[in-house]
Amino acid sequence: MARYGLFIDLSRCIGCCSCVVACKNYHGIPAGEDGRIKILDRITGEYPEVERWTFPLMCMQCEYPPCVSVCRYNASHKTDNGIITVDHDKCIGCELCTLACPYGVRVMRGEENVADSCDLCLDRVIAGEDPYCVQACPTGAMVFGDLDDPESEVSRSIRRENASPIMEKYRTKPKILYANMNKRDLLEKGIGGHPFGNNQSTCPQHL
Amino acid sequence: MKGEELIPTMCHGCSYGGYNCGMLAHVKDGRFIKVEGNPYHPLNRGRLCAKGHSAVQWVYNDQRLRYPLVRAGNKGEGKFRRVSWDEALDIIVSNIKEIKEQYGPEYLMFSKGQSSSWLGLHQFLWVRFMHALGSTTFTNWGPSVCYAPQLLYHRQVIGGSTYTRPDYDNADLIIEWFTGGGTGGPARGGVETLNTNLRSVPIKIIERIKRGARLIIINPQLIPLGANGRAHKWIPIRPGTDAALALAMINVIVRERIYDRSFVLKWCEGFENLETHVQQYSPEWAQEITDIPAEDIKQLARAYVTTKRACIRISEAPQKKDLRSLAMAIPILMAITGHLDRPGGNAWFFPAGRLGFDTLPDRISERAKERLLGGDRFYIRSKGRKGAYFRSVIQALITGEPYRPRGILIFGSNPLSTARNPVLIAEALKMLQFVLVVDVVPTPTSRYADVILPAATRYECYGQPGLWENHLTMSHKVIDPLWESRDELEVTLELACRLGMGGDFWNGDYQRMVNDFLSPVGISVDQLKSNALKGILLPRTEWMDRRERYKEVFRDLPNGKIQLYNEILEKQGLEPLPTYHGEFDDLPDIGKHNEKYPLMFTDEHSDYISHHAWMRHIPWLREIDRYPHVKINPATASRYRIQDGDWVDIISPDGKMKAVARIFAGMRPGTLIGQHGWWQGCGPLGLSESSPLDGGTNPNCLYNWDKQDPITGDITKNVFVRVERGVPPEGVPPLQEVT
Repeated sequence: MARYGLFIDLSRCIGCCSCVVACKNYHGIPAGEDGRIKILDRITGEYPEVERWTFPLMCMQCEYPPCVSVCRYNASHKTDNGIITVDHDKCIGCELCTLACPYGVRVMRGEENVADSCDLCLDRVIAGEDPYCVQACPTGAMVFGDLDDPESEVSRSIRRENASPIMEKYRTKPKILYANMNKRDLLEKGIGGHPFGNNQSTCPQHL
Repeated sequence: MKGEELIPTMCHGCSYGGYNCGMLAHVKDGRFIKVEGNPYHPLNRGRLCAKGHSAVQWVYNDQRLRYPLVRAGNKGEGKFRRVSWDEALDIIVSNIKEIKEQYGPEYLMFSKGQSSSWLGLHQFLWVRFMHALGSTTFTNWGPSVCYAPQLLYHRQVIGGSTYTRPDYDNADLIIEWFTGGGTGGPARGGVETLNTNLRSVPIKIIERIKRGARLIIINPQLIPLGANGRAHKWIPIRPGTDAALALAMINVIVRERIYDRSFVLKWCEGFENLETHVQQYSPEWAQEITDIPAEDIKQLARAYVTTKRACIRISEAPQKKDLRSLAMAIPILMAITGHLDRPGGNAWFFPAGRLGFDTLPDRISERAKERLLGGDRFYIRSKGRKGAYFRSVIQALITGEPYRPRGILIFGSNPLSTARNPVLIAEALKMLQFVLVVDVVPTPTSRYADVILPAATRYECYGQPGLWENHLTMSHKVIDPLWESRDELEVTLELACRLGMGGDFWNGDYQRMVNDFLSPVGISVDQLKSNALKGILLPRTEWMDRRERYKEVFRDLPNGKIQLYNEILEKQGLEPLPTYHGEFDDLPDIGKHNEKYPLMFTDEHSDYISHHAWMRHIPWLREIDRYPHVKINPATASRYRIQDGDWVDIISPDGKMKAVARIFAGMRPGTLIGQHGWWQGCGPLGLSESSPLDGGTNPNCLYNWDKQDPITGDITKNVFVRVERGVPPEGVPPLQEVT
């Protein structure tokens, strides 16, 4: 069985939000609701020695997913191919998973108030296609594939660019790996926490 | 997906020349439900930007105009009455006839916007329409602040029919000079018809950086392209002083004798004059003006010269009042360093063919030719007197001198938002006997209309061919027009027939018109329809791929040579050399003597999620950036006790606007950058429309109408302002329908 993951090359991300809108269009998520992917826009340093970083953030597809561990109804679960998803019929809206997720990417959705996060477009993956954001990205910043296959493009990209997960201190072993994120420590500050209580922006602040 | 039909078409997120990113529209049960990029389309290769991805919200939008309206209140009041198409077209036809017969064809004007593309089928049809009526008064209200004026100087200096474009694919040094750096239409590989900041080629630039190319950003703000460690260097320039930098670069290059001598000897005239002239523009002189250290200027000049494959993209000019010195200095810089029309430099890109049909210029009446507003101006003459001079049109409307035009047909243009001095524009519109506005949504301009017609979106139209390099394709209809909206081209054909001009307009046969448009390249609509997914690749020409085409491109210049000392301009009594005048009278003492207006303001063009004055009503885009913003450096903001998210008033000697402060450390201190085109509301997000007039949300209110480039009339985009905490703008109610 494959073990799917994503490689994200930040030297290619221009923070354009194409993935954000593509995801909403593909999954029919209305404006005003949290999407499944967001773009963070961070500044480090002080003028004129300023660096700017834009990067996408979505479900990290953890090997050891806290959102699954805490779910008492088997709604939040890991599929055979390693993808984390939520069975909306089973979700009772207790919101525990949103608190458990260290990356703050699990959100509650719709009138039914069910948990939701990126499942790498599971339907597309089953059909043999890339997740929609991967296909959409104007600069080709993301590569999807089987992390267990050393010859897959995603594995080769990870090796070539020395990509690694963010915030490994939580020891959840994410399968989303970032490359060329030089100010990792600085940028990791402020990611995570409760999605309703933090100040994460969905989108770039300074288009 | 089951039951879904995939229809290849082209995006309408941003439109130049009819050729845009290819998309596959998903249609289910007659409803357009989603889009994806067309993998066979060479421009975007299956990818799309945020604007493209929100196409369905552009089509199914609560703001769409649904049926024809006629004015039922005072001009500007916004009261309208619903009428049938038949009634609306009757009113339009009788007004056109009356104006033409009672006054003359020159009293009738036409204005189109970017929404319907430049140089594409729409433009050809409308020019032909005006010519058939005997008029030549084709006026675009936006370019007085945009790209076209820059092109004039580019052509006067180095010839060619178009602007040069950076050959990113081969460049080792890329200088992005006051560009959005790919913030408009990022999925596009760089479609070429015009060189504005839509020349957005992030992927090309990124690929080159991956291969070791360097990226230098010259901009008061750190643009997203320069983020994530991509910018080799960011040079935060004082806004509106770009010509001082360019001239100082020339100074360094000439003084250090590092220019391309063989090119200069063979292809340039007036080098000695230039050499003497630029002595005054030392890097130390420029440091005072631009706020860039002299050493940085020297290094920039040397890097540009010594990198064999180096290109500059300077899009929508950051200097307008003194456009001349900048727009002359840049092509001179490219030329004397040997970067012109060479791989990796700035080259001319030509398509494999031209689409179009006869626009019937011989039908223009002699009287209309003679009375072309502003027709005696060098700018208009140099463009073959094809359209009126914007300022002369406004002056004619306000003062009646030399005569006051009576009617205007506006297709997809919104001058109240896009032109400087919207208050004056509103007055000018009131002076007209008849104003027609055809658009997809009601605009502030449409409040001054006598008749408003609902245009169909491109996804509801029959199709418009587009050609880029050698790829010819066509947009295809995805769904039938919603409500009573109609294809603008079809409406134009019907108007022509009703005016008795059917013989010149294919008797209203749309497909014959499109076939005529395609005939220069020998392809038919049927062929394009049967190749809907991939389009048709025309054979590449030797001319397209050749470089160093100096002999041909410089042919129309005096002696076939680049005019470093410009004889053409000199003969017109104009400055033959790029002389720095600057945007302001009181530089370099910025901030010291201007206590009342201590900050510098400028604005930027479209970004990832909007396009000029439209698309802010699209919920998926608008939620990303809800309010008109102004970017402020943190130190500057704290001096005025402004916090991120505060509504502020920005006040210049000429006007006022409101915006939400965005505290951004990637901004030059003392500088504010706003954005034009904000007026739309967004119902699903509970955001109401705002006024583009003074005190609303329009940067065009801040600029001084009289600070203009002497030749082209380009109006300044730099002004001193002060900023104060304020309150949100009052909402503008939607159009009111009366029975």
